[in-house]
Amino acid sequence: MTSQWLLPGDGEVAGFARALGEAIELFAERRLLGLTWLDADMVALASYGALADFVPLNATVTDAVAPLIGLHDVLLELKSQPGNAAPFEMPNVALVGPSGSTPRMDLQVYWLPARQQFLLAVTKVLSTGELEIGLAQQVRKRMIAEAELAQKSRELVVANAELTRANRDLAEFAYVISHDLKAPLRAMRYHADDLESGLPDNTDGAVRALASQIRSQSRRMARMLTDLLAYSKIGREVEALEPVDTAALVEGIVASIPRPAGMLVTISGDWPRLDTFAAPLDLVLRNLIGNAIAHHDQAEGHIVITCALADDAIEIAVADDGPGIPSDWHDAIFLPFRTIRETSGSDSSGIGLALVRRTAESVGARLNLVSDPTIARGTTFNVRWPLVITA
Amino acid sequence: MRISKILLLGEIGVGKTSIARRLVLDTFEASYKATIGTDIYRYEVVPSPVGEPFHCIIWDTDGNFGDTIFRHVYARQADAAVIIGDVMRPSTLTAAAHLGTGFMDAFPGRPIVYIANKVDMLEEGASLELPAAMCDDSIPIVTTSAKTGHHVREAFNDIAVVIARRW
Repeated sequence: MTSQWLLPGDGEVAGFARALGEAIELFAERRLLGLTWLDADMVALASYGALADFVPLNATVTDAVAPLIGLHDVLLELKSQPGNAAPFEMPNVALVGPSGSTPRMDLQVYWLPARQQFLLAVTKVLSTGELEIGLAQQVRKRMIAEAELAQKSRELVVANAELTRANRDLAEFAYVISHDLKAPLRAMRYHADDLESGLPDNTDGAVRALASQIRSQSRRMARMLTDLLAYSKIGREVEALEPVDTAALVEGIVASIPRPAGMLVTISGDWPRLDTFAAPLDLVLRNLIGNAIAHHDQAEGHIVITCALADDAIEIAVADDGPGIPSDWHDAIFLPFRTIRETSGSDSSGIGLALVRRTAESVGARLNLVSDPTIARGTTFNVRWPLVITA
Repeated sequence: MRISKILLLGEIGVGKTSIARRLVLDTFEASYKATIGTDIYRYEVVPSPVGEPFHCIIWDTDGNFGDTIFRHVYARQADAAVIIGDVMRPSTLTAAAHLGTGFMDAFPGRPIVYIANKVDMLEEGASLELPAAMCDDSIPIVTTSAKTGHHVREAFNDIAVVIARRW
């Protein structure tokens, strides 16, 4: 190979020098063995280095560069693409002739729209030995990566199976415990009732108070077990789709929940009829509205329940003007038996929002809340209930 | 002078490079060195008994490609294929037949020739058994030895005649 230039008249040399500069930048990281510029008709305008041996000036490249036949269609394809198309690349070729072989080289062909020219370039590839080592290393790396991936995949399958089993066991455990404990607890509560009612009239007030405590605490515990049972049943029971008039549903729920006289409840927005799971929707709305009323800290308040149609869901919001929920409780309130305020004296078991979230998730609905008591009073629970339920 | 591109195909180690070197350079190297990428040879052929001389550009491909060679840039605009098997390794002859089918699917109507190479290694009097898939009356099969040069030029002449006839 010679490193020679084949250039047209002197007047164009400067232009090719600039083009050479661009090409050298293009191949800064590779050893350039040769360059040829072609006009849009594939006629060689200048050649340098290895390609100067193959591409005489003013020759049509596809006639001149015999070993590179097939280029004609490649060049046409490149030229027909808008903008700077990715170059055509033919990797790792060597030309073998009676006098020996060229170095192994990669051939690149670019279409330069600004110049309306093609640029052919050959660059050196790694030596065969280096290439073999490189290939072997790549293959080895890929095998190792695939083996690691397979191992991770197996571990994931095992972990998923464990998790599924653990979840099933937990749900089963919660169901069994809540179900089986109810009967003895009920018996204890009845016995406590009997004890309290059987106390003589002259019984010490403190003893009577203790008996009353046993009765009230056992009631609370029974309620918790009932809620826990309901919680564990979510997903175990198969719901049926049925036509639901959501306006009638929400009005019925509001009417059925007792509230102080000063607590105003407003229902607004578009409440559609849809085929959905009625019981879960009732549970979610009943709990959210009930909570808004029950946890309001003032005698007078306003609860606004709205509904809007989105593309694939209805978006229900239950907004109150109560005390609000501190941000560090936004996650915890959705856990079973976690409540912001002490509930020992209340009717709440503290499972309501956990029940709401799990029920919502079981039908593909999404639930979130907006509240920041440091800025303003009030909490808004948003429910995005899907129009089509595939669960 | 016309130019025609011929692909050399076959499993690794069947003697593609040896065939090309015997044809173009009339040499043979006993030491084996796998081709990585492609070596391109230029060879002037005069189809016999009749035909205008033309340049064959022979693409000696990396045997690792297998079937994927037909989707590779190396195979673009091939006019014909010379597909080689090793008579000492019957599986390479079966693979050659498979490559022949692949080439005919990828480049319909373009000629191929099968080469059963390394016949110099067969014991004297031993018969050559070719796989049924290779025995298609429309495709010539040539037994060759790159080592001795036996029938190498004839194999390429066979395909050159077909190429020239189709111009």
